[in-house]
Amino acid sequence: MPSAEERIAEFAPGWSWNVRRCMATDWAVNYAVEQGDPALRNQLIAVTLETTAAAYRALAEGAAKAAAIVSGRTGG
Amino acid sequence: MASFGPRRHPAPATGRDASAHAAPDVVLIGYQDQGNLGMGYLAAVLRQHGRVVDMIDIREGPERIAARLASRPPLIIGFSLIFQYFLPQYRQLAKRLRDVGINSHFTIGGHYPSLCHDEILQGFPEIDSVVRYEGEFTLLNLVEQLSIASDWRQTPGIAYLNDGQVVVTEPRSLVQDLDALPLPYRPYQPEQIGGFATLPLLASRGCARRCSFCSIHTFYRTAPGKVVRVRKPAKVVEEMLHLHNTYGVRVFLFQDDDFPLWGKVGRRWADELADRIRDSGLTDRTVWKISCRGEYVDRELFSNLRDAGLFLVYMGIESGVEQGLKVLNKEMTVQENLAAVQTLKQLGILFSYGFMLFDPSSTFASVRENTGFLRQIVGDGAAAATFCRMLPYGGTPIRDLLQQEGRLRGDLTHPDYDFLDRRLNDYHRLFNQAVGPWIHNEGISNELNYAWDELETVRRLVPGIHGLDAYTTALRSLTKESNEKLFQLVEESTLAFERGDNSLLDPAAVRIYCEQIESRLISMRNDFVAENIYLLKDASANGANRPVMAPQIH
Repeated sequence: MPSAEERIAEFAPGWSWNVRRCMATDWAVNYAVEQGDPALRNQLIAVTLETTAAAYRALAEGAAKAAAIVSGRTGG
Repeated sequence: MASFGPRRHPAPATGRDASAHAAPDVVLIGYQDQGNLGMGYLAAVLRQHGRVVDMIDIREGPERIAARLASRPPLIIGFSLIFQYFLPQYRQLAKRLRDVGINSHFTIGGHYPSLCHDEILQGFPEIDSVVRYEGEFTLLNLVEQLSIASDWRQTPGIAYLNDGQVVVTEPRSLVQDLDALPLPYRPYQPEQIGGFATLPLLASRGCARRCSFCSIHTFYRTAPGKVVRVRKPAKVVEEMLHLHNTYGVRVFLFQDDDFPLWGKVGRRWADELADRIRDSGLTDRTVWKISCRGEYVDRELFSNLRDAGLFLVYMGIESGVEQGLKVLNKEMTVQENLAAVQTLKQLGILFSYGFMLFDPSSTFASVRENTGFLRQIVGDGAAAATFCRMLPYGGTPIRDLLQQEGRLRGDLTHPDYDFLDRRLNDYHRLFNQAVGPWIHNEGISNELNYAWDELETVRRLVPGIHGLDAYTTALRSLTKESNEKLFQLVEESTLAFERGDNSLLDPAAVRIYCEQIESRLISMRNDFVAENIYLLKDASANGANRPVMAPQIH
């Protein structure tokens, strides 16, 4: 005798258990990454750090330029 | 061709499609969860103006996307970014695309890029421009400028870097007449709830509230133009009929920021919408879900909406503690939220909710108080318990406040904060690891709530179903059991942690428990479906003109 799951798969596969999942939360993303390939996780962390570092570097450069302008050290 | 899922519908008659021989003008890349209406509207406007548009789900991964685009790079690649924590994935993709020699204009849009365009431009050097706020006509202008090799930097509504300095052009007004927009481009197979096709749509844009944790109101208020814009009920129903007739959609998911039910005007609008849905004949064939504030839940109004097919209401409840509601600037009381839940239960309308068990004002005591509130609303098993931690996203007032207080932590893509009681930082870290299998995206609470959604659509759309009451009772009992176990874990583990004992936060034990609940859920659900297999198969194949069953009062 086929199981309930087998009956569904045979006669109405559209009704097989298939939960809709939404990746709309950071918890979901983090958890998915943790469950996945460690290499992917390392790659994402590397890109995160690089992106953050680039932003802070640019902001620091911006502050330095502003300070230079305020102190009259440049013509800008 | 679009790229969402293995099965595709033919594209509508407007616009042209990217063929194997012609490079598209624009390729839009983003997450395609529950449809992506933002990309759908962008693509629709571009297509309306004769542009060739392709859409790609970012989850295809950098290698596949790069391979697809390298041979025929488009004029523009537009990245649709909603939340900043996805930024690393977009950056990784953009780098890969540049590495394989794609020199298209890279632009990015969405809430975070619009509000924090400087952070994007400084930290994401592959990006040429940011399309700020509602992007339909800005992106169209950008394509027009680039296609004639004109100076795209004059395009209103963008930001870009010029010699290392951020330049912001004149802001573009929000779209004032939503009904003037074409319907979203949806060249993909609808997702399903049970065996029923489901697609998202919008009846409005904008939110008049000012919740401190949310960037939506900042997004709309910073751009010129009226913040809340509502479509005509007749046009909304026209789209519903189109989706039903074209895609066989039986379950509509309204994704409005705040479904427009506020005040007398909102009530009149909603009554007209309900009347028009009934007049169209959709009530017998379809159901729909909305997201709104609890204060709108009025017995008479929602009774009318229920009779027109409303089956599920999502509410941003967020806190069960007055102090939490105040910090989050919800402008609602605990009692108002409780009353809304009670009314929905009495009307036989399913509800789901957003809830921040942890917010910047949290203490161990308030976490327990919040848990008590959750027990009040879902302790009976009416829905599965879910919750999260408030995070200080870019463009939100609470991020600025936390920064002023010196409590902002994390980085650009994963902003975070310290609790006032620093021990709660440690507790939350352990708690998050332990309760993952319960409340995260693939957790048992999500599965239980999915089962409730499916059950309610079956109740409404499939008359004569067998074993409905027994399955309802069993599902409620299982949900109640799971919820109570979770509540006990929160209450007991917080008390124990305050005493220095973290042994209750045991990920292995939680995982085993959740697997048991999942096994029981799938077993009872499959038995119910298998018992009704022919009825359900018939209903999902052609379910037109079937009467809606009267919702149960519980």
